[in-house]
Amino acid sequence: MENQSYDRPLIIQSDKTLLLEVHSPSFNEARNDIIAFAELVKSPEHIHTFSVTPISLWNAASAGVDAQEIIRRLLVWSKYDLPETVSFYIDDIISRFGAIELHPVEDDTDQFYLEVKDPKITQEILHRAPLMEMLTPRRDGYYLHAYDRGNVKLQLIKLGYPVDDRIPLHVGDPMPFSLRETSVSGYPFVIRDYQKEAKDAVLGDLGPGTGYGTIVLPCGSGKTVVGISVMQALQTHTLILTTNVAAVHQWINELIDKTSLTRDDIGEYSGDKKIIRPVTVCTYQILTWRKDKNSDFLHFSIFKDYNWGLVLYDEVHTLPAPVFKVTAEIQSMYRVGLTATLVREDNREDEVFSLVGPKRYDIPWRELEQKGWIAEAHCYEIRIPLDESLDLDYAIGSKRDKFRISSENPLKKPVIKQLMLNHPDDYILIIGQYLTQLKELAKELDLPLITGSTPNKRRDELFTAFRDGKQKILVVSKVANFAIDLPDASVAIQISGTFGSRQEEAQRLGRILRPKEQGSYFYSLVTRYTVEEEFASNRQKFLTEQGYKYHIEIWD
Amino acid sequence: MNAIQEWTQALYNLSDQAFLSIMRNYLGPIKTPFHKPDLISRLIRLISGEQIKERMISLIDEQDRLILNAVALLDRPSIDDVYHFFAKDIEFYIIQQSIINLEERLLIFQKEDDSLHINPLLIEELKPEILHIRHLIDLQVAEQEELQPDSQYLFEQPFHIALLSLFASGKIRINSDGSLRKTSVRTVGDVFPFLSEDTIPPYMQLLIGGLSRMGILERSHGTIITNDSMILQQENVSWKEYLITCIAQCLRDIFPMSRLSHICGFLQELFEVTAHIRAMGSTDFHRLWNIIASHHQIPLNETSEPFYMLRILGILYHQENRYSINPLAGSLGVPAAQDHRDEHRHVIIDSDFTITCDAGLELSASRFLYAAAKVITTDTHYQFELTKRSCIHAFDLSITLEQLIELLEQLSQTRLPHNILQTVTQWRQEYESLQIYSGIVIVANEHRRRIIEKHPSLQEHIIKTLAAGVFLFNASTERLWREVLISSGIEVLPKTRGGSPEKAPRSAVIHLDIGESQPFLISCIKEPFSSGQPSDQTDSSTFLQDLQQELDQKHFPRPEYEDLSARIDKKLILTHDQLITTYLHPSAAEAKGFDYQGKLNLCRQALASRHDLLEVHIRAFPDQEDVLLIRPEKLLKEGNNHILIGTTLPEHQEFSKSLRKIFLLRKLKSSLYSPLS
Repeated sequence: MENQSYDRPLIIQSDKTLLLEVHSPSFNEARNDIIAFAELVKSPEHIHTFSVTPISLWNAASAGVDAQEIIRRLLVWSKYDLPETVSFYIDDIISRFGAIELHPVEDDTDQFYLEVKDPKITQEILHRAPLMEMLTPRRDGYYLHAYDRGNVKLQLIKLGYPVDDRIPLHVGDPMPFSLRETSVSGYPFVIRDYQKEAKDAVLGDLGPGTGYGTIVLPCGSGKTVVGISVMQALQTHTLILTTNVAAVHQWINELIDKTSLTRDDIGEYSGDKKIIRPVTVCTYQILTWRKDKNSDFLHFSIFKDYNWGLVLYDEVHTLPAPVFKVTAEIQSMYRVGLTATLVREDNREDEVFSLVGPKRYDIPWRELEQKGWIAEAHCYEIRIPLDESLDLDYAIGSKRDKFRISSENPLKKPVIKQLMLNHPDDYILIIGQYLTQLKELAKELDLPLITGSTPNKRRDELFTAFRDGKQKILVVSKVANFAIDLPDASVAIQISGTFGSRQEEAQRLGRILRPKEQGSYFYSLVTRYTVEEEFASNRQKFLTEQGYKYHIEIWD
Repeated sequence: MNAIQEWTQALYNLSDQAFLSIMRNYLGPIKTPFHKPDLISRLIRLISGEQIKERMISLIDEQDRLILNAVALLDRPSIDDVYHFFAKDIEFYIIQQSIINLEERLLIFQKEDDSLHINPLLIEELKPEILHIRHLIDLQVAEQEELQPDSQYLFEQPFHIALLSLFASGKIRINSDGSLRKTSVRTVGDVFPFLSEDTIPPYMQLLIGGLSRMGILERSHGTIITNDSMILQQENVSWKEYLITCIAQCLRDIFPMSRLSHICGFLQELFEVTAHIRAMGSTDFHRLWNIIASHHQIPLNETSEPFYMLRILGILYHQENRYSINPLAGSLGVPAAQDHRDEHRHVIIDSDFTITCDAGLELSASRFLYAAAKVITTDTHYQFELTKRSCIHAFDLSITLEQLIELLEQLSQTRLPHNILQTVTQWRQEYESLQIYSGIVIVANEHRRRIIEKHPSLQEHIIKTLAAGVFLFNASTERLWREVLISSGIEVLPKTRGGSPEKAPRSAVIHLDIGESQPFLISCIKEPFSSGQPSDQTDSSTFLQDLQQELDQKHFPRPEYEDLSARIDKKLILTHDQLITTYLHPSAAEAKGFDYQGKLNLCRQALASRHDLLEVHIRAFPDQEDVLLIRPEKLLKEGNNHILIGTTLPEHQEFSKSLRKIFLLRKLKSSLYSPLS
């Protein structure tokens, strides 16, 4: 039955999907209410879709939002009656939060006490052999060894029961430093409101149950600064994990640029270097390196051999599976995950939740866009006819060949040139998949090219030149997928290849979503009536789901 | 012939024995020769008297009332119909005896077509204390808040769009036995999450069967697909017609001998009658069903199979042994209250190609949607997606780009996103980049070309002009355009060279003939109702006791005494004046033991009549006797023995027994109006 009010913009589906009408006068208010307990799935022009999941509900519970409040908010905004299955689901899932708490044991730092408040859960645990191997039953709960803390939490969340970890976190070796008011590069450095809110949300009062969690901020909104802010608040030895060497260097540069830390205070632990310092930046790859499948992960000892007080997981949604194991073992530390999206391709969000921590802060990118903190992005798809000379080759080629022929369509070159002319003052990235194509293009346009085989030093030089404005256009291969911080990039032209996963798509766009006076532009060149269009249509769908404005133009 | 004339005609048609038996009982001794019209007139005068009427009515007990209401409410029921109507809760033998008794009491009679009717002289007096549907069925009007449907999807038009879209995708595959493949079960579950995994197979089987019979679905190499031409041509079909026909066709298998229009009429009335009624017990619901069925020439139902099907479809609810019909069936899916902001448009088309609509979307306005969009999910709101494949499907159905965009714009609450317009246009351009036609090519010289180009009657047959003088004609209308060509002076028309033309497509009209529902039952429900006992039982018991006491005092000979006593028990005696010796010496209706000839005669008599039954007693063991009620069918001679063959009642099992093995045989009349036996 429909509720008799025109400004109720929410439609609650029985599969726990929430549809929110964007054009309703109550949209903002409703969205702010529901974002606390629902994950944004997609946000195209007219209807935003949210999903209520166990993780999203437990995140809400950890932030103090109970089931009654969630249901109240849903009822306030819902156009129709709340499906019974949904209210029952919310009650059930929320009730599990807090049903299990982890407490310290007095005078014994090697053991913890798992308090189980619901006898039914106790019964369920008793029937799980892998869990019981780590637990010793006691009245109303269990004892466990400190080193099993993470694994127990992991096992329980897979059962559907989150653990409220009330154990005070370990304090690492001190590392005092301060934030600069003016960065080394000469710009004023101010922590933005939302960055401070994010830091406060994760650290709280530093009491039990705080000091760990995940922060979700859109690409280009300054997650690095949030990480630095957390470090400054804790003043402790810090291990920063990130996705690749370029990102490592970016972190190091940012730390030097914005804090009192010097080069000697910061170590790099990567394929190139193995330097440990009070602040050490490390790649996920080196951590997960091993000689062969049966060998140990040689570099895991970095976690345990030093008295870290804080672990920062950059792009935590990409946390490699083996690192979860170690993460399980280092539960005593302050730890913060930074990401643009909690959605993982491998659906291991529950592990991020239990081992790194619940989501503590989230802000929709539209809000940042409206406040001017990130740029408005315009997405264009330019459809180009296939060079006639390639018609027959395309027609008789295999699927792989078809893709390559359409991607490397020589008629894309004049389009690229025209786009460069259209954006004379912008910082442009030209991104592609096929090295032959990129090399030809770079040569023809006399532009520098960065590929996977470009030495790190040369890569850093080019990035610095780009950042400094000395080199405004770069041709890059898939390496641009990984974390690179180019503050002044405002145009990306993709000439071939897919972006890979949806998160990488969003990340790529994030590279150009820096605050600027005018908006950012993303061009995708697609050969008409070819297999390239299929990928283009998937991309179009994805980008419009994210709320980007999408235009299609035909190049005749 | 009016009703009273029909009644008197029925009396005329009684056998002499039966006629005289009635007359003597009510009028006393009858002199022979007798004049039937005269006797009937006297009888009419007798039972037209107020006192006699009151007496007759006062002697009606609860069971009589049930039978009388069944006779009144069923449409021209036969004795068998009444048997079947009460089959679940009243013993067959009791029904049979009750009918005869009510006939003897002149409360009911039988016409020449074997249908039973209430005596028209008594109908008005019998209402409402005796004759009202609520004496037969416990009908209570439900409060509004009780009428919340559990399941509404079948009654929502977008659900049917979603269903057609799913079939149009070609993803629903069936096994050779007609069952859904497992992957298809999952696909259906994804789109229709309100269906549990157990419910999906029977639910879809019903709908596939129904829609296939409507001509909307076809089976093609193990895949269920839509018959698009059939769907798109149904411009003038109302939602009500569509839905009723769909449900009727889903239930077709259980009504194999009934016309579709009758089934549709039955369903309409069933839904309308039950729309505002509280849940009923099993017996009541069966009775209501059968009453309505009888008025639409649907055979009376004794099984739960149709109920099971309706439950699967979400039309019938069954909880704690009580039945109710989905209230939405009563209104036949009138859309829910509309969003106040927008009274006409129920669709939002978003830039990510998602189409979201509420339950108010009308099938008639959005017929193309099933073809042009892929269904994603059905829930509080329905979601579809515009995909390249779905749009190509729409183009294949000759929906133009302009029509498609017009449809989307008409449906959408908001402006169509620019990228949607551009992309759909792109898809159309790609679609048009290659055109494939089927037809007959005519190559004409200059002279003939001019005729073909200018002749108005030929234009509708030309699919395309391929080049100067080269025309593609419609193969299915070859006969017509050939005639036109001949009439235009082209006397020499060569035969078509090459492959044979396509067969003409089969008729694309769904026959929807649901008619208007009969108001009969609804008016019955609305008539004034008087609950309570059918009669002042104390008064009638006292009367019967008085009669018996008076009889006891008369000291009649034993046969007469027993006969009159039996007639008092049977309530055939209405006044003290009837207590006179009019013993009728009925012919023997029983034979037992060694009376082989007697048993044989009874079998022959029973076979000669249409309705007589035989009560058969068989000694299975020395101290165990089985009593069976048999409808005799044949008597076979084997040597010097006879084998009685028939059907047991009410089990309808085969019976075959030697007369020598039958211990006792009794012939039972099933009706006063059976021919002389």
